[in-house]
Amino acid sequence: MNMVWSTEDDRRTMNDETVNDETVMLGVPPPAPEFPGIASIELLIADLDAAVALFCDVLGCGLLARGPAGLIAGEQAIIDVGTMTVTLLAAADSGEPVVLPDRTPRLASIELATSCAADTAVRCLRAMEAGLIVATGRRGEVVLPPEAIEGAIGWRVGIVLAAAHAGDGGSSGEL
Amino acid sequence: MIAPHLPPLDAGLVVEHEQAHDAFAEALEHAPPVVGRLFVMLQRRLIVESIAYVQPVNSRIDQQVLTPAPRSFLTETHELRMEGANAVFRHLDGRAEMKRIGAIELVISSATPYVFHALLEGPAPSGIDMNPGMLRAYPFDWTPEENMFMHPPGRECPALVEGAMDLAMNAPAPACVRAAYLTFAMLSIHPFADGNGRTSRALYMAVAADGLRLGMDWGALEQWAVDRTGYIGALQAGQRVERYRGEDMNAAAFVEFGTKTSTYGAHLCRARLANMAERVAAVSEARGVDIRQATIVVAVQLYRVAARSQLAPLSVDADDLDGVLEGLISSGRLEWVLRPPSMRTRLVPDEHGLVDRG
Repeated sequence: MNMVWSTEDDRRTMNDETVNDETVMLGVPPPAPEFPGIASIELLIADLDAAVALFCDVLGCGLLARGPAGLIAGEQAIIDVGTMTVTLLAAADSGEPVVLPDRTPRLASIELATSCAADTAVRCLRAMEAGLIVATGRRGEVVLPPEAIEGAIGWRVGIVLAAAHAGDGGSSGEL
Repeated sequence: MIAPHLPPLDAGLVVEHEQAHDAFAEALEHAPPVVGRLFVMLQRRLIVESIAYVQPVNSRIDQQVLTPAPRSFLTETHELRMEGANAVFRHLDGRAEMKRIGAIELVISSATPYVFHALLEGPAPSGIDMNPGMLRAYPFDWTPEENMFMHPPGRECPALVEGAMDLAMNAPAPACVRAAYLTFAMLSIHPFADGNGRTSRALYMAVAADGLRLGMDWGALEQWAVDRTGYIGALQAGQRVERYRGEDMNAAAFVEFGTKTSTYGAHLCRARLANMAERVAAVSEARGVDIRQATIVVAVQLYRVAARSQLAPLSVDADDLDGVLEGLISSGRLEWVLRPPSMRTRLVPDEHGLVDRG
């Protein structure tokens, strides 16, 4: 069992809450056999009005929400495409909380829905045991940033793992 | 133009730093030699990853994994950065050994920035020749959203680097202060076309080495990689001016960050070493193998799938290592398997590796 070194308020204590790492993958429980599916994809786009017009006015999708992007400077719209949502993110070149340095339009992240929080945790452990960079987002989602995924697939896109219905969209693999 | 000033540091932090590193040195010196080599094997990998900044598997500073898996799925750029960082570590290790035997007085020398940069940029990780070992001749600016700070013109760099190196090598201040100061100064001067972060982090190691009993700060750089936000924040806290002006800049926040993270890293190293010793003892007892065999089993666990070359540092004698491996394989405790392609790198391209079968 692999121990975790933790600190609280600069008090250094050993925490025996364990991360099992007997060998590569061998000590980590298998993930849930079923993967509920893709919850959402996030597209960085140049013109939010035009993108919303395409999805909603032309293709007939529903607009679930539109407002500030939250994690980065910019505005986003969440589009209902039936079994999943598409987040259209127009990153701004100034403003709060942070400016995204690379605002080139692209597929920014794919959010995979897991069956529950425990399933997310198992998949997170497996990613760490496989040597991938893993970060935790604000709503408990696991983020494999583009830097981690680029070496596997050759281009930069984030992968987000979150329990189905864990919260609203908008978690960017960019952050 | 002048190099930034060398700031003072709270004496209590210096004492804490010294105590933490002494306690770790004591623990390492008293650990069974083979367990000590196991620790060095893992920690060296983490330091190389940290110099290269390929990012750690876990970036939670409040819950750090004691035995993180090796980074995998690396890009070509990552691999080339690792190759350069590995060469830098070998250089540092060699200099520390030369100092230990009395052949040189200090690990750091006035040539060190250029040597490090040549080693780091020699493999051309960005795919472009960035003049390894040479200072830049042209201006360097960030995009405004990345950083508003403007570095000095290329023509000023030689004198600024010389001034910063002079303070880092000769000022009457603790090595941990001078080491972090030099990193701050080099990151502010930004004297190379590329590779400034890697070179500056490696320079911290070179200066810090001269103040430590072990001749190596095993803890700091891993913490800088885990707490990347703190690292950038401490750097930018001292650069609250529009453009480089050494007299208006303040390395204090970075020096404090460097010293605190080094102290914390030493505590983590001690916990990591103790954890390894416990694991080796537990494997030895549970499986009825001697401590050398148990150490190799734990090393295989740490690598998840261990190439033969990765286990070499555990033994001073290659034939002896092969003998131990044969015994563990023939008894069914270890087994050769194909290494996942994601783990095969330029440094360790082996197709096959060992896994622990219990």
